[in-house]
Amino acid sequence: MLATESNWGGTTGGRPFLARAISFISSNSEGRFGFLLHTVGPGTERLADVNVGDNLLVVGPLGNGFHDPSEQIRPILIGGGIGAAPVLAMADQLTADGRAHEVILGFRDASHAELTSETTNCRVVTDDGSTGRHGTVLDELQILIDSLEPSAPVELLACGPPGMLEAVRAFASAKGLEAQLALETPMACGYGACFGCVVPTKNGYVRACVDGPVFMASQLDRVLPDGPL
Amino acid sequence: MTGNPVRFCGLQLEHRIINASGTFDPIAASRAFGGDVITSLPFSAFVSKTVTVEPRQGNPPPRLWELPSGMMNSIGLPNKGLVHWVEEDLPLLSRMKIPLIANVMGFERDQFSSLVEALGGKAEISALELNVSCPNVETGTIIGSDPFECGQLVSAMRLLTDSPLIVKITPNASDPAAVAISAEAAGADAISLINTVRGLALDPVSRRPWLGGRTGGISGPAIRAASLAQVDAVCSQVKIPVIAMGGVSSGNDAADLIDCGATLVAVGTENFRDPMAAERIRTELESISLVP
Repeated sequence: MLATESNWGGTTGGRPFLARAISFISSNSEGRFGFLLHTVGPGTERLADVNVGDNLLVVGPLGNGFHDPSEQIRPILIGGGIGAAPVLAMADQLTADGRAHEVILGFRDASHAELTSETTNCRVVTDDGSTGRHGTVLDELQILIDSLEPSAPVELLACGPPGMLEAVRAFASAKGLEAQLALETPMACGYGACFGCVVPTKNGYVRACVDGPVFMASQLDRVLPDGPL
Repeated sequence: MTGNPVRFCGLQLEHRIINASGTFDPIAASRAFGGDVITSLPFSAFVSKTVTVEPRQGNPPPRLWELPSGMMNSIGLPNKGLVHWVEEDLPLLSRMKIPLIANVMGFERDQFSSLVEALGGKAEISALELNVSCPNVETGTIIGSDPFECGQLVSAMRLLTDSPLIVKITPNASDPAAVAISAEAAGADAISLINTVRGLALDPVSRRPWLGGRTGGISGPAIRAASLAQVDAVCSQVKIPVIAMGGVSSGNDAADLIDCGATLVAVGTENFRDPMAAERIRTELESISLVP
């Protein structure tokens, strides 16, 4: 008898091979971290199969997260899809610090927006209007900014798919706003060894893992889509 | 026993496990994990990322592609260039408690000469590794895949330094053992192999090459058997010591290479998955009885 099953070697059998760079959505002083997982490939699928009591090799925390805008500036946090994770972690920190802030979360549809049932004070939008307002985070951002006093200084802190980040970058550039963008790019090591995760900046290629993944929008000419140019 | 110190090119090393060039950055790791990393590396010698004469930005992204049991990279040797490396990185690397092997690459003979002359005499550098094997830069592939070209280069470099010269040959040659023989005859002190194996991946959407450098180098367990065959062939043909690498992720993998004749084993891609992998591999290796 010969026995095989689907995914028996060859196809995805050896994947995932590399670690996956994942932002935490929550953390506490006891070293407990929460993660938000969206199964999109062999890495996230394998992580979704992890059971209580399983061992994980976790390297981190790594990289530079969002930084606090100065006291006079109102942070507007913008998360798209799985990019909601670091945005909500930052929102928790701002809340703990007693800092007023705004949160905009955008999702494809209601089925991808499940986590919003556990969040409060977030402006939620979906592409299809199945939950929250029908529209994009940029639409909501414009509405929010129009509702603020014109002289009120704001800074954008955003994480999401490349198209969304590019739209936030262009918006910030057009309006003269500061923006912190958390880029997502595949990584091999996460600690500066492989130079595989570089992103083009105005100062040339820099490693997202050790020099980012949060960059000031003004450092970037544009946020590139995934894959070859 | 593998736990005992080992002699290599006049150096007394604490054990047999080192790193493959470009797979560990002690300066970045110290920033990421804390300052003591640089003085407590899991290697018995450290091989630098490739240094070139001029600064290099490297290849455009994307630079990585995951494979079943490995990965492919198209990094393109980004580095700050000889002058900045000596001024900025060498003082930091000299804080390491293990010998430093500087990996260098030129795009023509004169550039190799400049690098060897500048670095060969430095007290902080214990040996030089000539990168004639990087598959991402055309010139390297040509020298490293041709026994005559490689011998010519090593002969010329031999005249410039008394520092041990390690020649890292490419697996993308029709006969890597012939290249190793030629390097030995020209005065090389050691051979290291293998570098990554050339490969290609297509973007599933656009159907064009995924990597910014078009082709890339395959590494990881996917190439382990190819490495073992080439290491076996080279070790049976040369008398100088061999640094073996290619998909090493366990003590058993290291033992295989040592049993084929390697003196040192380099850990490469596994460092990416676990920055302390070399320590685990060394411990596993020390529990294995090797063929005497």
